[in-house]
Amino acid sequence: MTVPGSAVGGLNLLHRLDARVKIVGLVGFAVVVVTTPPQAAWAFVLYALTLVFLAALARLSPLAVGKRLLVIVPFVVVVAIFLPFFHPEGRVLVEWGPLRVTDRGALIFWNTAAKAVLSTWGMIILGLTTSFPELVNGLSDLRMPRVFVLTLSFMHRYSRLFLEESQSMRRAMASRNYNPRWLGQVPALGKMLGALFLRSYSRGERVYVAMVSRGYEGTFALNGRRRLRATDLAFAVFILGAAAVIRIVVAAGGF
Amino acid sequence: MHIPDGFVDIPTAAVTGALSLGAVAWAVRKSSKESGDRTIPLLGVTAAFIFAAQMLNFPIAAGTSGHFLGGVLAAALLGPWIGSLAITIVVAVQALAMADGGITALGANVLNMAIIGVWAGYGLLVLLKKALPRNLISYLVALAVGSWFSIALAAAACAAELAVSGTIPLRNALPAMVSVHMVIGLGEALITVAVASAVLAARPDLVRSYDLPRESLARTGAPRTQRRVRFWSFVVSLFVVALALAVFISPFASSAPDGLESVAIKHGAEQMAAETPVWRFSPLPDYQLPGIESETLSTALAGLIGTAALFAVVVLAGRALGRRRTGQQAG
Amino acid sequence: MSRAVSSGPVATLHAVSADTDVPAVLVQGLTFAYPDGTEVLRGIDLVVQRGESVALVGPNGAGKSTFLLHLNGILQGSGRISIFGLAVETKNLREVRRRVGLVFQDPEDQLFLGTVGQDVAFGPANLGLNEEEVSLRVEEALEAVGMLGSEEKCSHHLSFGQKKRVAVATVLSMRPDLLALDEPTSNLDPKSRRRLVQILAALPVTKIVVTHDLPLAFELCERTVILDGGRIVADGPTEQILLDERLLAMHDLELPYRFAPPTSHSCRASSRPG
Repeated sequence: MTVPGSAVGGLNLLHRLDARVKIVGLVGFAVVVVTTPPQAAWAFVLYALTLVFLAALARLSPLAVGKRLLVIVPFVVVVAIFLPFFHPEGRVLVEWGPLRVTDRGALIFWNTAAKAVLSTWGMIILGLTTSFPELVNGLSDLRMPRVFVLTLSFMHRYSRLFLEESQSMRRAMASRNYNPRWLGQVPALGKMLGALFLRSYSRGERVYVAMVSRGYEGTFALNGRRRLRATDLAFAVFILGAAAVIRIVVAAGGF
Repeated sequence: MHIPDGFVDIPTAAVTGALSLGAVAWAVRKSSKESGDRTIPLLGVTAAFIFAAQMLNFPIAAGTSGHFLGGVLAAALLGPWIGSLAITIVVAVQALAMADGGITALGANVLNMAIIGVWAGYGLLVLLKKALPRNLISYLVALAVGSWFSIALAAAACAAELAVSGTIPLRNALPAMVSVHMVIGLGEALITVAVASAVLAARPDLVRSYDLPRESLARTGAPRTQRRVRFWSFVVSLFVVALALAVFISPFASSAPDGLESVAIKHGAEQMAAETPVWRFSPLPDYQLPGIESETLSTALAGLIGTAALFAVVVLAGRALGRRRTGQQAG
Repeated sequence: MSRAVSSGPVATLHAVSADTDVPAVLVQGLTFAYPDGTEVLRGIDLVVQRGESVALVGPNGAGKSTFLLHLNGILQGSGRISIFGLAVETKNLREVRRRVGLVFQDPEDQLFLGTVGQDVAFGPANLGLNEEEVSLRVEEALEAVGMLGSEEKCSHHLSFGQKKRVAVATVLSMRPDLLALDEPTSNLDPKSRRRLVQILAALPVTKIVVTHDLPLAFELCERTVILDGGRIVADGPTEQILLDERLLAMHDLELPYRFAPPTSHSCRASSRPG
């Protein structure tokens, strides 16, 4: 796992877009994908092509995207494992002793796997082309409640600090030959986390004092609202338009 | 336990989303009332702490690792409102910025981990605190049971959502998810207790759910949790426990689906059934045919095989991922 | 947040501070104990005149940082404190906090937002200034610490010395009349320290500097106060106090090995207003 907002270098078109259109566009895309019935296999191919286009536009390395896609593997595997055990109704595709894979079972597997890959892929593009502060600003501009926006920006600021602290503590533990191999050795890690919590709590108190010292009274504004440019709108029209057209053709029973 | 997109269907996503939204909005109100203008910095550093803590993998056995969730810990330390909000924020960031957990499944994931997980664990902690004698050991036991239970229950909720969505039937999903997470929950419980006792030793005033006299801390000190158990006997006993649980839970679970699955049918199956009859699964595929006894046996058997397979996958995946992560940490 | 107010109140504030009769800081009989009963401040009396720079030194645990937190009402002990004639009490806190710029020891505590610009804008935005005025203040403050052009940078990516300077800018943007600095030079390498000292010396405001870095007192402050055990045990011209080896030893203080006190007072002169 990496720290959020680890948008990698490069300043091409997709990186420069306003975070708002990327959030709305890719979240909207994911929603459309999830609502598409799995029988329309061609639609999923078109969705995938749209994402390939975007990823190429952003010059994302396929390896980086692929690595991040691994997070869905456990769930896909679980569905695959249970495939022979359920949905015994329907046309049998493969039979192996008491185990049967039916077309219904296979369809469920296809449905989950394809949708998981496509929506996750879209969110990966969002994550890889948007830095965390941009993401927070985007959410703020989209009128996400202030508590969350501010908490997110705090979290981003301090998670790095805490990660560094926890890493240096881990190094200190490793220098004294702590190398946990199984659950029984875990409590030492817990002690370390306890120390981290104490540090982070007093950090929170000190930050609060620093804020109050500068006139904080419960809420504050982060940034002014920015205006969307033509390229931002073009992106939104492209991604939402592509998803909508594909979905509408599916609904109309096309192909 | 982060459900990706596609594994929960639209009605389930909408219902869990609405439930989570309501619960989170309420938590925002309550925590602002409780902590005033400290809410935002407190919540921010707590979320950052949980986020950093979740990055730490702990070994379970044989190269498998789990990671800490931290919901009950945050609730025990800072109260359930802040705890539940901090987990919500972390889950949302994982979905938005790291593609870990689906965006349409965000409601379900928040419900499982931030609402059900935190509140069930915290509720159990409060109940046990009342039932058990008032001393440090009982408090830590209550905390351990609460955090272990919260993981298991969150997994059960996850299984229920997958079942309602028609992805995996409850009779398979429940025993497998719950038994695996019962094992992961052991790590959660150990870490939660270790963190809480470390904080109790230094700043007992920061553990909000600890309301016993402070003197008892000095006397008892932090408990010795580190015991010498033979490594492989530990692995084997874990596996036996998981299997036993699966066999025990499966027959029990098989009576439950009817209610949940019929809900699914009511929700969205009607129009879906018309155009895509095969996607939705039917509620009673082959239940009635065999007698009750053999049905129990076959579901138990299915649960057993499923759990064994899942256990193997978790061990293998954990090995591969664990190695990858350690590599990254070193770099 | 209301953003209607622009330069109006600032003008009035300057009119108030033109009243030169009242001292910048007036502390009488200040005592403070933490809730657990630990007494930290045991009766402090201190007057700081406008334009003065005062070093506050003393061993660890003497109560120096606790004292600073009283200056803007974060902690409220018993006794009387007024800042430019304004009593530090709940109804005046808003104005007191504008006039007292508190710079904390750890810049990580002070830079809590994503970017340098956001952090420096935080204070003025809380004052209710409009966007134009806020960005003017940000520019002015960053220029004063030599960090102009880093508005968009993540605080996380700055060097420690830069973080310290930005932390100073976060309070300068509120145009404070009194700068209260807690260990401004701790953990800095010699070059960053030199840079920060020059920046601080050039600021035309009243300063109270808490420090273990005794040469800093020579460089920045004409007056030094020793705080020990929650009491002021010595107060006088910096040379007189810091060259009194017996006095320093009594309060666990010492100058660096082979330290030679500076003979010119050039940087002190530039710290005076006007």
